[in-house]
Amino acid sequence: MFLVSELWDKWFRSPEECRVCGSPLGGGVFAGEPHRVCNGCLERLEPICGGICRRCGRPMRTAGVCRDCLRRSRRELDVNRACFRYTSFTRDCIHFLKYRGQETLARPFGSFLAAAVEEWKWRGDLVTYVPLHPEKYRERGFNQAELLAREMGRRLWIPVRSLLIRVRSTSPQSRRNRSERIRELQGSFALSDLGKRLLRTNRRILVVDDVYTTGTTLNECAKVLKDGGASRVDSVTVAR
Amino acid sequence: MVGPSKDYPFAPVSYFRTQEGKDVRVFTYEAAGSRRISLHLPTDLYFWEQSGQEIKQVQVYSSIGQAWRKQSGGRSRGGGGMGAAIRLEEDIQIPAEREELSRGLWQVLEGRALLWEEVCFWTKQWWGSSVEEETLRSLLQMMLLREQVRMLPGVRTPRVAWHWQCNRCGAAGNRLMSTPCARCNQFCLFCTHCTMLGKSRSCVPLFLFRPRPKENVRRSVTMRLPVLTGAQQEAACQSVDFVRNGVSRFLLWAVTGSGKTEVLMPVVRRVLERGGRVLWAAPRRDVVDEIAARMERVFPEEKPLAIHGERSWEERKNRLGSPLVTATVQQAWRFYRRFDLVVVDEADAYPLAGDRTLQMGLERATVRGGTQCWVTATPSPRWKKEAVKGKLSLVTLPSRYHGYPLPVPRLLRVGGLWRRLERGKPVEPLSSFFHRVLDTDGQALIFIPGTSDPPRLLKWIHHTAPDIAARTWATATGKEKERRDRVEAFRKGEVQFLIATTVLERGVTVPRCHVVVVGADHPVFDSASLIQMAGRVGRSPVYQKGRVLFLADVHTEAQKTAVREIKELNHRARQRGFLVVDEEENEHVPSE
Ligand SMILES: [Zn+2]
Ligand SMILES: [Zn+2]
Ligand SMILES: [Zn+2]
Ligand SMILES: [Zn+2]
Repeated sequence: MFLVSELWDKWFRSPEECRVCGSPLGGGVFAGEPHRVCNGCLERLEPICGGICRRCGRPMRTAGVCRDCLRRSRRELDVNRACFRYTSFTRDCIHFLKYRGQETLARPFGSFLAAAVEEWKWRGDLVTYVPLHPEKYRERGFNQAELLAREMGRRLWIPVRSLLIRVRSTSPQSRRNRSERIRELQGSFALSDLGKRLLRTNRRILVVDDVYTTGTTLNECAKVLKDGGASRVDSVTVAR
Repeated sequence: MVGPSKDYPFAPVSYFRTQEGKDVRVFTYEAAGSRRISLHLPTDLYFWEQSGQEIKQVQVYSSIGQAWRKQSGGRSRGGGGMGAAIRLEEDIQIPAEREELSRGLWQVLEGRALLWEEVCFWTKQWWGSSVEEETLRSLLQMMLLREQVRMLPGVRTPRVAWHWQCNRCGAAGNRLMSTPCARCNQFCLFCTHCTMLGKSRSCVPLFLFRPRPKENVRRSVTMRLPVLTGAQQEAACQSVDFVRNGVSRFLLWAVTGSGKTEVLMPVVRRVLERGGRVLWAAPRRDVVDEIAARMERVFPEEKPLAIHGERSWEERKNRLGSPLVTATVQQAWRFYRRFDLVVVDEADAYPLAGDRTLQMGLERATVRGGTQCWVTATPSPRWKKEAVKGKLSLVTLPSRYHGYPLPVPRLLRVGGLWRRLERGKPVEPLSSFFHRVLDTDGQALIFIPGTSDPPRLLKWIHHTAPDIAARTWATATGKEKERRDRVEAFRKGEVQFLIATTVLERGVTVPRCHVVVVGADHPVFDSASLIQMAGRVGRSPVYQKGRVLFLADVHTEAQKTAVREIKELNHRARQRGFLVVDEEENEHVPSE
């Protein structure tokens, strides 16, 4: 991603703004360039820390495996980790990126993802992301998961490749229950040509997405990847 | 800029839908000696055929940005490779009912600046989902040919990168970002500054709908307004005069608690009576809500419309055509020469102060020959200078609505103030201030420079004055939500002493208020914010016992200016006979 700003900053240093809320960054600010997010926003994002579910990264009082994960019998996705709780503020931020198209948000959130993966000490071969249906992709102009993955990969020095394609578009998830969702998503992903080729040598894959709600989408992606030859599929999301 | 909002629930609209996988959607051609842009070629063919002209050199682009560059700057970058020449088919028919549809569209959209998605959204709301993209393109193209609308790329990218700029908000430089775009299949620029109103980018057209020619109308407008005071009356008359004479911009300098909103209502009525439209722009959502509620009371028959990020589309759906609009300043970017009068409330406040893009938006929302009224209690030195030189017309409202003078702050110097507080040593003026608050049964706002200071202050109070510490205290410096709750508690009187930073210098008004600024020599307190803080006191006519105290190590220029300005305003009010009750006792001489 080429930033015009990087060029301009050399000549005109305009006052720094919070990458999330746009308020000017004055004193008493988290000043690190990787994030450029003001304290207020950092607080409101509510990072997940302390006990989490070993499998899905859900925040819990004590470490262990959460009820949802215990109940699920067939599970293709190995482990998920998330940065923030899915609060109304986090949701607003993700919607701002996703539906309003504020692509600048990919930068701070990508670096938050990178920090989470680093802390998790994930080791693997390739990073990929949940694809959009081509029609939706053209409508939106970009894929938020891809932006997040690219930003994260850039910071971690892990190659990001497009391994998956979406062959069927699905209607919005929010209005259905779990079993309906699973049924609808079945067979909506497939391996891309690149994916078929790369999976022969790269076995451990990390999938990036914006939100983990029930894990159906990520699980479906993991299934396709494992059928294609992946030995281990993990995922990382901004919110849980 | 505030974050995400839900005021425009765009359903993602198919954007320049592709046919057989080909992005074919903006055309340029040559006719009548100049190069033109088209959204819908058949319409152009029909139009030019009627005037006996020929269309030549048709080219196709996937992005309005490129088409625009081709039109305005000759050759686009990369030679002629970007636009592909196409051949035209013969025999074009334009259905007759489109005439009427286009008239309807203009009526709905006149005076607005909208992106393609927004136009789609509006038309969908207006006609239901029955309009096809093809029809919409044709309608817009008819309007373009008749110059009822201007079409520009969302972000302009002329050949010289220096001049790249967002056409909607005017942002440039590092506020533009170049990203790979799946819509136009190349790198294109988008504006990160106005994204919360929908994404403005170089491959998306921005439409500026011109206002329709206005008929000369007179109508009667009901206004329910309490009787104005002498001072208000005078200011209102002056303001009406400015509008009548077509002054393009004037400043209303109204002190805190003067009833400035009421003063402008007669002006609003005058504009409405002549068939004009009014935009009341305010910096924050809470101000918009408050003004909108007042508009509702004063002009019940006008169906005033309020717009800001948290007001949903449903709420405003049936008031879209209202001539009286209250909105946050950012919303002005969505209008184009629509309002005869634009009132800019709290014109010196964040985010408006110093933001050229917002000022541009307000400018563009005003019709040519219209009036902008900037309202402030603390005009910047530059405005004052311009007013003195006669470059800026000025209306002053120096007295409060109840006729009591503004409370004059007492400046007190305490050597080593923070050190004394830290060590728990007595600071006599501060303790006596707190006791006075107790004695007069008041509430106190305690302003401090930084968010790290409250603990020090609280510790000192616990140490030196346990009786005061036993009262209800709260600190409104933390998270936004917490802050809102505490201010609410203070308003209700559940909290007697509230510690705050400059963030709250404007919002909080309670009747029995006292104010102390601890460490008033800190650079975060400029004279304007000191005047605002002092202005919290004495707002109610029945409680004039409130005091203002500035405590500091040294007397800064800001403190002195604030006191001087308040005294001067009181003096002016007295001279003009606006003060009903003149308490000389209220005016303290700054003492050491
Ligand atoms: Zn922020
Ligand atoms: Zn779990
Ligand atoms: Zn913009
Ligand atoms: Zn584009």
